[in-house]
Amino acid sequence: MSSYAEVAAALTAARGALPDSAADRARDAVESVAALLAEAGSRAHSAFVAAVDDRMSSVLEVCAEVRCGLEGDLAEVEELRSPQWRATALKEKWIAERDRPPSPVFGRRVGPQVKEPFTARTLWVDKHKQTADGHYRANNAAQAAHLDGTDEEGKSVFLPGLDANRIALDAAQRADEAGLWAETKAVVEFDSVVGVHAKTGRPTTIVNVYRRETKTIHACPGSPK
Amino acid sequence: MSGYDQAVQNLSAAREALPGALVQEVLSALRTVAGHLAAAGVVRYDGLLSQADSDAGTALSACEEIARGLDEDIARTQQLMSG
Repeated sequence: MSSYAEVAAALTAARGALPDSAADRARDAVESVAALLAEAGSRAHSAFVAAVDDRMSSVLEVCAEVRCGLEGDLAEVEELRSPQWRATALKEKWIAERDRPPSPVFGRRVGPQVKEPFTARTLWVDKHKQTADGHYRANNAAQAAHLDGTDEEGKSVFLPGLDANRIALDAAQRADEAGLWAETKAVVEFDSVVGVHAKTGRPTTIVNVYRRETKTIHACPGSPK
Repeated sequence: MSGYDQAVQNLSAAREALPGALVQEVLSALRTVAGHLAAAGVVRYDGLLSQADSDAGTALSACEEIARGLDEDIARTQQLMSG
């Protein structure tokens, strides 16, 4: 089973097949049996009658729990069926499953790292209020289009809480050292997810970094591997 | 109607009202649910469904036990009536 639609169909079928109605009717029936036996003055089977009632009650509880779980699963699958929702869901899941990244400290690297180990340069904020490493400066305006919450449609965005400028500068340094530049663009792999790729809606560990002659750079999440 | 007649009638009605078929239906439905979930690759409900399956199995055995007991009770009461 490969598609979300098929999974949704199977979950819907499972929910529809839950036997809570039959278990409920079985409990009603066993109640009638108990009343008839009491009228006949028979107590010989009361333990078995109580057992049936108890077990059906337990089945009903399981049905309720599974039904509740399946409702949640179906809602999630429905969201995942749409690429746009899928991107949002993945992003939210990513954020929910890990602690919010700590605020970046210059000279230290937090969050995703360039996959190949390297000695990163020290970063600082220059007089133009741009993050810099002595070789490049991050272009805040160009970078803004790739930050979470951007109004621009079709733009790949970094995960909220990540320092996109730091990622761009690390990627540029790595591109310098490994000779990854193809004219103005380089593609650098990181060791964990950096953002969501707009075209596919998939999380990605790839960063595309762009440089200008003025040595200003910006980066965006690239096509996932 | 004698006391024995009434007792036989009640026991027979209780025998008829036993929910064996319904419990069987529950068991079968639980297995259908498990099949759908397995097809979807969902395993998180396996424990719950297995527990429900076991409960329904126990309930079915209890129904069969009650049915056997009631059959004997009815036969015994009818013997008393004819004797």
